[in-house]
Amino acid sequence: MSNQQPVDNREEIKSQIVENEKIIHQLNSQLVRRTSEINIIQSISDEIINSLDLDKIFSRSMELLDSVFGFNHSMILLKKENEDALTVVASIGYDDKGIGAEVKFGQGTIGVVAKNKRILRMSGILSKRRYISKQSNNEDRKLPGLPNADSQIAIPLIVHQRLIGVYSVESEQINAYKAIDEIILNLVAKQIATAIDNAKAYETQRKLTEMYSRFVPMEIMKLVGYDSILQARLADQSEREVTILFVDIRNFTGISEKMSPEQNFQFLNSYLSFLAPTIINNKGFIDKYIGDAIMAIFPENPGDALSAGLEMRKKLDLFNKLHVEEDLEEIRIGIGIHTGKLMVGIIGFDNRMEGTVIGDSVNTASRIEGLTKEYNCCILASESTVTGCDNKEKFNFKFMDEVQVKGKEQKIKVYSVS
Amino acid sequence: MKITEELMPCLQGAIPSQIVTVNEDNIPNTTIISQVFPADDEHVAISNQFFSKTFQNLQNNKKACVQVFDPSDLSFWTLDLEMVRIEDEGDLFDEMSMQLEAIASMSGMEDVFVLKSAYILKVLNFHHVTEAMDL
Repeated sequence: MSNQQPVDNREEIKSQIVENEKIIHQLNSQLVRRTSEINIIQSISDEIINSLDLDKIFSRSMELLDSVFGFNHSMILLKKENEDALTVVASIGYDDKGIGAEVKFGQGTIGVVAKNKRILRMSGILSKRRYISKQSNNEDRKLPGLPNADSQIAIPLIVHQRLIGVYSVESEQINAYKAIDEIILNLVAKQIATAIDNAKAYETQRKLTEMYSRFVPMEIMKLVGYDSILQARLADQSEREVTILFVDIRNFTGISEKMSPEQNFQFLNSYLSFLAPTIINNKGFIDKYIGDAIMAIFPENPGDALSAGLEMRKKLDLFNKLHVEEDLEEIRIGIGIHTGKLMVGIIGFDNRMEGTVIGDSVNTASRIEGLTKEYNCCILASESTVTGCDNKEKFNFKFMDEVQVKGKEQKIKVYSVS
Repeated sequence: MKITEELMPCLQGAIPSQIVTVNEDNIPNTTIISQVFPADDEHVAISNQFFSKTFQNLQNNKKACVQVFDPSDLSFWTLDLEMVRIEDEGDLFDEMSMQLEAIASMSGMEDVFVLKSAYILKVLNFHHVTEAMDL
């Protein structure tokens, strides 16, 4: 009895050592797995955080979570603007992708997560639903996702305490997710939320810039040497030789008196929509609208402005034809074109700035346009435009006069163009 | 008693559990509850929706027994419990509340199934039922 005791002890110690080694081995392999998981999370983060393409952010994050962690049914929902509801924007692992399906706040796991802005891990959904269904006559709500999901984790996507969406994973298995899955998804969700927010901010910025460029011609910005409106500073300027075109409706005052203010606007917008494309089609841009007049700039060859003038006349014929059918008065226009040096720059004061062109040449072009009445012709161009024109053979020039333009010492030769 | 890792699969609410309490005359009452939640290392929580008899009994006699099911190996465990407090706010209450809300809303019953409070019970002891039968 007495000498058996140490043997037992030895056996016990031996088995204890074996047991300990097993545990150490297990812990080591767990550590290796965790390290590789963390590396993968890091690489997902790097990839999606640097993307400004929403679709790419959605698809890459879901693919990686599927292949690495086995989250094979997942979907991303984004909050609708000014509404307590979400819409499915991307999904993986479903026969029917369900894009566009809606979930109201408070409905199902996803809706409850959105409402409470808290992660939720659910197990045994089916048996719990059966339990509740017994107490109710209501039909089960149709929500996007697996019809017989038994486990689900939904995570709120939050940026600066603002809910932007919900990420959901689900499984038909009963206890599919553990606490560690919650931690992994939480980490990834933070990155996805930031990436989505960045991409959205970028998109908004792009739209704003585009909208803004309708009010301030980007071409002016380019002439001053900017790539974006954001660079604009007061008093930035550059001197350029450009061709300026003024086009004005001759008898507009008479016509407009016969119309209501609303009809006036409709008439003007319709007229401008006929004429404006001729400018853009000939490498010019609209600097500003002055009532019924358009001031356009052609930064390249003076011939561009002449071509635009001729096209305008054709367009006007078409416009008049339509208007005569509607019993409206026919309109006549005058076009004045002049080439000269101009300052292109930003004027204004602090919160109201404008990109514009200034200089004598603008006045000259405007005065020449006024002369079309006197000489009873549609298009008048100054000598500098005619001589600077690269493709003279395309036009017929007729010398009209040498005129003293108001406010100018030198006389200017003007030609009618057809 | 500390809740061990092997008990965790039973506490995810995969399969409803049974709870037994006794009234002042020691007459037992049993009912089905949808989930026994892990509250911390030594406590579990059950949701007070409308099992009025169970909660009435617990006011008199704080002892309770639950049987939970492990879906991974299809075995049962019994837990001896003692009620320590009632919570109607805080992280655990919020989480239990959300679970209930999510399930109820799937059937349009979110207004009926509302968590009144969470009963926190200390785990005194637990047994694997198959082992207990061997004894």
